[in-house]
Amino acid sequence: MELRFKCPSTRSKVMILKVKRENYKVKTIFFKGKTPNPGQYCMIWIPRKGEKPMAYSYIGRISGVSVEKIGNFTASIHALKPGDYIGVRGPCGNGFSVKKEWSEVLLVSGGVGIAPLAPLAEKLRSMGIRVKTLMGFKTSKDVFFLDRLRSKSEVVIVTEDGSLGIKGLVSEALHSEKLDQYDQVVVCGPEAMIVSCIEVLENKNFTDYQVSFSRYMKCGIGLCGHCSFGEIVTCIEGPVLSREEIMENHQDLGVFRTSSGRREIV
Amino acid sequence: MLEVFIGFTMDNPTMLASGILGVSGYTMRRVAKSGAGAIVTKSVGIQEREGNPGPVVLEEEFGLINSIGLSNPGYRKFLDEIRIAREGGKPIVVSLFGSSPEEFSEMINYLEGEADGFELNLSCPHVKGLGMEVSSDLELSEEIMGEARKNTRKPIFLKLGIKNYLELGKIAEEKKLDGVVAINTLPALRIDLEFKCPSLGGVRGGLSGPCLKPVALRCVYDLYSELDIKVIGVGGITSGEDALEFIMAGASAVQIGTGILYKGLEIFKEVENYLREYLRKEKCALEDLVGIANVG
Repeated sequence: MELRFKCPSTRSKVMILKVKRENYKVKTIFFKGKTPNPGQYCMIWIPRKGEKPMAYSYIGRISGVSVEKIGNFTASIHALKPGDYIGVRGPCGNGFSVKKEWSEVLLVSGGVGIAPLAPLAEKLRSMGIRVKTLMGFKTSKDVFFLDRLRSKSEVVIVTEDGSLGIKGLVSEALHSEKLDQYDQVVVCGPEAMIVSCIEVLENKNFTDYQVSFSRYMKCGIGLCGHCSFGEIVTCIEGPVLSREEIMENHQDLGVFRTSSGRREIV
Repeated sequence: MLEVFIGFTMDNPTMLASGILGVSGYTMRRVAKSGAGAIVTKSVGIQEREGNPGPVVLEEEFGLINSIGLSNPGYRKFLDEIRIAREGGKPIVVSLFGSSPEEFSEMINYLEGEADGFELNLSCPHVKGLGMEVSSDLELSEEIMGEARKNTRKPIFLKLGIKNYLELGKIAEEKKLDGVVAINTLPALRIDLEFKCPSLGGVRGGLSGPCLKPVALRCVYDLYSELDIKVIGVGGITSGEDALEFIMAGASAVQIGTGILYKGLEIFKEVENYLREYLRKEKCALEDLVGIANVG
């Protein structure tokens, strides 16, 4: 029997084709595989180290994931060199929803949240849709994908310390935007940033938005339920959720579940 | 018509098996609303546990191997999840694992107010020192069952693995447990030839899904013919026919876990509708069918 959800749980062994340093703590690894849609993710397996979900940041016959070094597993990804082999299970999840009748879309990112939004900007442009991007980072050192986004969209850059662009939070930049002109707002970033952005959007009565959430995904096939957002199992039904899904499950907004399954309020 | 009494009443004989979508109260509530007659939570223990490193699942042609590793937030933190799960309006059975009678009584005392019953998981095949290794020790298992019974009048079920299932079933009956659940995943392991290492991050795993069905049916059959307490069947149920097979072998209720991955949450309604139609056609009650094919 076949699994109902087409999130492949069989892993393919792939060779790292290229490694690119994006900034002092983010590296992109490139490998061949099935072409994903923007917003989808894959489970990266490094034998004997573990398996974790990573959003695709480059999309094509050769895809890539951009990984921030935050712990042992991500350090193992950073240690990979071209010619090394890893296991990949993907593409998984739903990806962003895109409509061809849109004329302008606003992307809002916090930190590495820009990773899945960059290929989305490229896809939107290829469809003739105008894109504006609000990119938020802690400091100028953390910035990456700036030129990539600038080539496809109007960019407003925001840093918390003001070392590049506007000083402040990206949610404040969102607050300053006139939203009427956008057919859709797409948000991706840390949970706290997501919460602030949703607050801004709701206060402005703007409802045409979608958000890519980061949850602790373990199995990737909807079995363990660790990644749940309210009643939604984000590994197979997300990671991109519509406003309606977010509102129906708002009690889990700003709540993160640790690897043990314990709720932690962000 | 499909109402079943196994110590509490369920509106139909399907239950969510432990370990699937059972970490969060909200996902359990969703399964309850999807039609499951009762919910069994993910197993919780005394201490918070992160579980095993990934990969935690392997899809096989014949089923699924998992090695989640009893990750759980600890029983105290789990109380809120049970409260949320209850909003689904179905009985909530809390699955517990532990290594001593004292641990079980501590957890039962704390959770009793919110639980409709308990399932003692003495048979998880992928964590050292817990689960399966506990049920290998019949004396310890007996003490745990006795202690659990002393601490609650709510239904208690023993989740069995393949090892010692009849002996343990008889002890469960002696200790006045309400029923046995057969069977847990079977011990399993795979090697990745390309990487020359175990395919699961936690190395050892548990096998579930369609390949388990004949093994589970044998256990249910044997248990029903030897015991007077309820037998709940679990292992590879993916259709109404599968559920009926378990019922005819002796199961009063059935649990569904891996089947959700094949059919989605609709599987609970699918099984319920199949059984309802079957009873209508055969003009009989569900209880007439329990063990009907069991000739001892």
